[in-house]
Amino acid sequence: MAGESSSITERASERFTTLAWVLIPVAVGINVVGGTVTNFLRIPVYLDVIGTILLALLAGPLVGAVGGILTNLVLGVTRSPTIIPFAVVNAAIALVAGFFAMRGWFRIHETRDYAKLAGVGVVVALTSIVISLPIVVTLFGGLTGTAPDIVVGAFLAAGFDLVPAVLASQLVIEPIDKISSVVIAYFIAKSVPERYRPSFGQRALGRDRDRDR
Amino acid sequence: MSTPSANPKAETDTATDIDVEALIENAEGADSLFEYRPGSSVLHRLNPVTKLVCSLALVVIAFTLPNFWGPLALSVVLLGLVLLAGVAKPVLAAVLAVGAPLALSLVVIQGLFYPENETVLVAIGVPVIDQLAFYSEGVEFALLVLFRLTVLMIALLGTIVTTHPKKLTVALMEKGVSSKIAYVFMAALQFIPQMQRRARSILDAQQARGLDTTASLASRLKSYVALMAPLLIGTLIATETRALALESRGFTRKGERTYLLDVSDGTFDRALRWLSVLAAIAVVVWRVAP
Repeated sequence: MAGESSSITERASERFTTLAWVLIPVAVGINVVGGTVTNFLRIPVYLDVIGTILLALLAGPLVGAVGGILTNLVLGVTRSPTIIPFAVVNAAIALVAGFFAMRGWFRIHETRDYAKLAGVGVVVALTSIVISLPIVVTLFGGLTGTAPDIVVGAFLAAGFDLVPAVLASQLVIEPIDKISSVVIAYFIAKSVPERYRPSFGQRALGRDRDRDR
Repeated sequence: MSTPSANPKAETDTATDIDVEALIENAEGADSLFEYRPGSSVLHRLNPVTKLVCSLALVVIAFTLPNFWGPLALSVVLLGLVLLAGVAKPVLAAVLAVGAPLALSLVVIQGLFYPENETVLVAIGVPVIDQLAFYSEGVEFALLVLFRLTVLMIALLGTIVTTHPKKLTVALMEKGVSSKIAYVFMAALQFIPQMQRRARSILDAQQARGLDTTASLASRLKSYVALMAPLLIGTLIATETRALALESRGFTRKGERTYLLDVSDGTFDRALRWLSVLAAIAVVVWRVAP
């Protein structure tokens, strides 16, 4: 038992190579800058966790989680402190995406394998909802001062309680947002030349030759 | 951010070097809403860790108090402190930018539809649906959430605006935070304006090559990959060099480190830290105990 757990921590600390540490700020940057690009392309979803998923895919779940937490800390310092509590959500997304990456869900060989990406997206969306729901309700009274508030208001007006109303509004948006994020993160990761991928990412994505049949 | 996408086109008609610089400055300014304001007030001289601990204690207190009067009083006191430190302007601007839309949607939606609404506060005659009633339970709940968040925002913003990021990282490392975490935090802060600038120039380049921002959603999502991939790969190539540079400076070495910057940590700081932690515990115990 003891030997097993120490090997797990050893393996975890092995993941935190200097390359991984250097990748973390890059992922944070992609999370933040991604918003600018979605605005520019007028894409109607947030896509603000692509950096986190990408990092989890390239360097493993734990490194991804550090990147996720850091994203919200940095945004808390540069945009609004109200973002900081959602660091937990960002970390959980990395853990889920990284776990699936470890299990080979990002090795795509045939067209129907893309369904796996959608599956990961759905699980990531559910994780994000389950963890952010209590934060939104207890800290913000269910509203965040953004567009989805209208949906919450509509459900409240229809006689729903606060928690179901917030849940319903998130069920509308989250799956679309997270499935697109996972798919985009996969394609960006694939476009990274193999030479620049950390060893975890090389294993998680499979060999490039496989993709070309 | 939707307006700048229209602006560059207008600007390129009269393009000069100065315009480009203004563009870069705007790109930087847009993302660093608040930054360090130098000063010599008590808030400036406190140890950064003290400020963080006090802020967190205040946030805990604000979120455990049962009605909106407590958080309101705390907000007023914090506002006074921020005024004394001479940083009220940036802090208030940021609080308003985030708080105003939130306040609007909270008061309107909770005032109208809060499930426990009973007592009518004001009723407005509205054509189609006859009458629109704002209930006092909903408005009180909205104010509670709002002032709790105001405490959180003013406390943390006050800390951020009166603390130089370098000082903060040194103070945190002296308290045992790993130097790697500290590096990563500083690097991310520095990276973001840089990446924002690169993203802008990649966007401009792709647009010059015929990127269509009005195409179907699917092809716009494809363009997203086309825009982010060069950004990532470019940065990744630079990271290899960066990793080497860090290694050569003993990034992964263990053991004691010395710092160029000196951060004071006196008895007053320590007393204030303990006091705020005790106050937070006291309030939590008072609320939890029946």
